[in-house]
Amino acid sequence: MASEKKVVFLRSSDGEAFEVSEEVISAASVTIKGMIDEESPSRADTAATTTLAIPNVTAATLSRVLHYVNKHFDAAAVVGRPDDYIFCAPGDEHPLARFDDDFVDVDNDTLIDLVHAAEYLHIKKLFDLTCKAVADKLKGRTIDQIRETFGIVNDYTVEEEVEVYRENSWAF
Amino acid sequence: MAAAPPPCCPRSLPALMEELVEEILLRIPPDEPAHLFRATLVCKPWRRILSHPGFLRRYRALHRAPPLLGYFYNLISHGDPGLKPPFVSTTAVPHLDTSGVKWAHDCRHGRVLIEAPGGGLIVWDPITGDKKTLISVPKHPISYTTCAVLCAAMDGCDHLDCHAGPFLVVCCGTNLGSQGFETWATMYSSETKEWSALISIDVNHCLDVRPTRLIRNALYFSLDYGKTMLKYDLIRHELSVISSSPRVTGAIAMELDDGGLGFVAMLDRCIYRWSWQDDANNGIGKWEEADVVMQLETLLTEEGNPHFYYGVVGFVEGTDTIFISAYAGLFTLDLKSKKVKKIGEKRGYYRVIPYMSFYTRDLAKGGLPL
Repeated sequence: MASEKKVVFLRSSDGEAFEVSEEVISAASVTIKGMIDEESPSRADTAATTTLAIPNVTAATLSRVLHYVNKHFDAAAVVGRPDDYIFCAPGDEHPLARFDDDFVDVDNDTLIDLVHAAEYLHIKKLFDLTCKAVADKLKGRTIDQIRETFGIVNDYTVEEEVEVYRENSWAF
Repeated sequence: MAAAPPPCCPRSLPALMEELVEEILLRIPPDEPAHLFRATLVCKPWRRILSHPGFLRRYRALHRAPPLLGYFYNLISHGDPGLKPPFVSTTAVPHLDTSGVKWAHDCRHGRVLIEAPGGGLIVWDPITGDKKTLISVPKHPISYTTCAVLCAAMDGCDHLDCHAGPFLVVCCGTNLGSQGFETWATMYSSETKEWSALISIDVNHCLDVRPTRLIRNALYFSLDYGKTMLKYDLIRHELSVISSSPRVTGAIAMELDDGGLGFVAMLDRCIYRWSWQDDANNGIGKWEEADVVMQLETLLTEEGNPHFYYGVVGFVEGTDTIFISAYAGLFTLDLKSKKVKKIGEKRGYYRVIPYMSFYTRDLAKGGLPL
C-alpha cells in the first residue's frame, strides 16, 4: 500500500514537540504504544495528527531518546540482527555497538535522565543500555569516588564502615 | 535488619528510586566479583540490596555465564609425582587452597574434580569448601584415566545454583594389556554413591589426560593427544570413536555455532578449526576442510623449551575461548574476536582447567571469608 506513513508528536515536559513515526515509536515504547492505542478510536478516519504529552521527560532528554529510537527501531535504518546484543560477548560486534557506546558516553546527569526516561517510556533496550552504562561507571572507582560521582551520602557510622570493610577486605 | 531510608541526596543517582538503583547494581559486570562487594560500602541501602538473596539470584540469572575466577594447571611433571596443580586467580577473589590436591581432573558447573595424593577422587566446591570423596574407581591396575564432573541434571538445569546438588563423575581409562589397548568408561552418581558397570571399546589408541568437553549429552575424551576423540553418551551409556581429520594432533573438541562437533588445534604456528558433518559420507560422517582461525607468529617467535608442550591446552566451555601454551607464556584466544590475552608465565603446561563460578555471599554459605 502506498499510504503515507503516520506520525505522532511528542510534547516534552518543557513544551517542545517532536515528530516521530508512529510505527517506529510504537515498536520502541510500550508506554507510547499504549497511549496511541487509547487514542485510536477517536482518531479513526481523521487526518488530524496526534500530540502526546510526555510530562516526565525534558526536551533535551526526549530528543536523545528519539535519536536512539530512530536508530534502533526504524526497520529501514537497522542493519543486521536488531535484538539481544546488549549482553553479547566483547568482540561480538553488533552494527549499532559503536553508536550505543557513543550514545551513553555522556555526563552522569544526562545518563540518569535517560535511565528515568527509558523506564517511564518502557523502552527495554534503552533501559538495559543506560543502566549498564551507569553500572560500568562504578567499576574502577573507589568508594569515595562513587559517592562523589553520584552524590550519595555515606550513612554508615565509622564503626559500621570498619565492620563492612573488614567483612569484605579481600575486595579492596 | 531495620528498614533504612531510601538513598537521599542532592543529585543524580540518589534521585533514582530504590528499584532503579537495583536495576543498575544488577548490571555490574560479574568478571570481577570484588566490584559487587565493594559497592556494599557505598551506603546502607546499597548494602541491603546487594545482600538480598533475591537480588543475587536475579544477578546470576541476568548474567547467566559465570565468570572465570582463575584456572588450575597440571604440568608435564617429568616423573615428579609430588607436583601439585596450582591455582592461579584471575580476579581479586581469595586464593584457593590446593593443598591435598595431586591432580586436577576437571571443572564444570561450579565443581572441581581433584585427585588426592592417595589416588582417591574428590568433588570440591571451592566457594563453600565442601569436599565429597568418591569410592574408588573399579579399574585395571595399569591404566591411564581421565575423569569429568557435571551436574546430574545436565540440560535440565541452568547451573546457577546447583553447586551443592547431585552430580555425575565419568571416568574413562585405557588398559595397557598384553593384547593391546582396551578403553573403558564408568559413571558415578552422587545419588546412588556407586559406579556403573564398566563398558569398554576396542580402539587402537590410548586415552590421554587432555581436556574433556561436554557437548549436548555427550562427553568427548581425547585419545593419543587429540588425534582421535572418544565419545561417551551420557544418556545411552555408550562409547564410540570419532576418527581424526588427517594431520590433526593436539586437538581438543569444541562445540560449533550450530551445536555440532568441531576440533581446534595448533599446527605450524596456526590455529585451525575443523567441523564434523554428521550426515555426510552416507551417514558415516566426515571432517570438513580446516579453517585457519589465526596465525600465531607473534606468540611463537622465541626459541621454545624442548621439554614443553606448545599448543591448545584447554578451553572455557560454553564460550569461544581456548588456552594456548606458547613460547612466550600462557594465553587465552577468543576464536570469534581473535583477541589474545596473556594470563600466565612460560611453563610446561599439560592442561589448563578454568574455574568459573559466581562469587556471591549466598552461594558461599559462610564457607569462605566473603
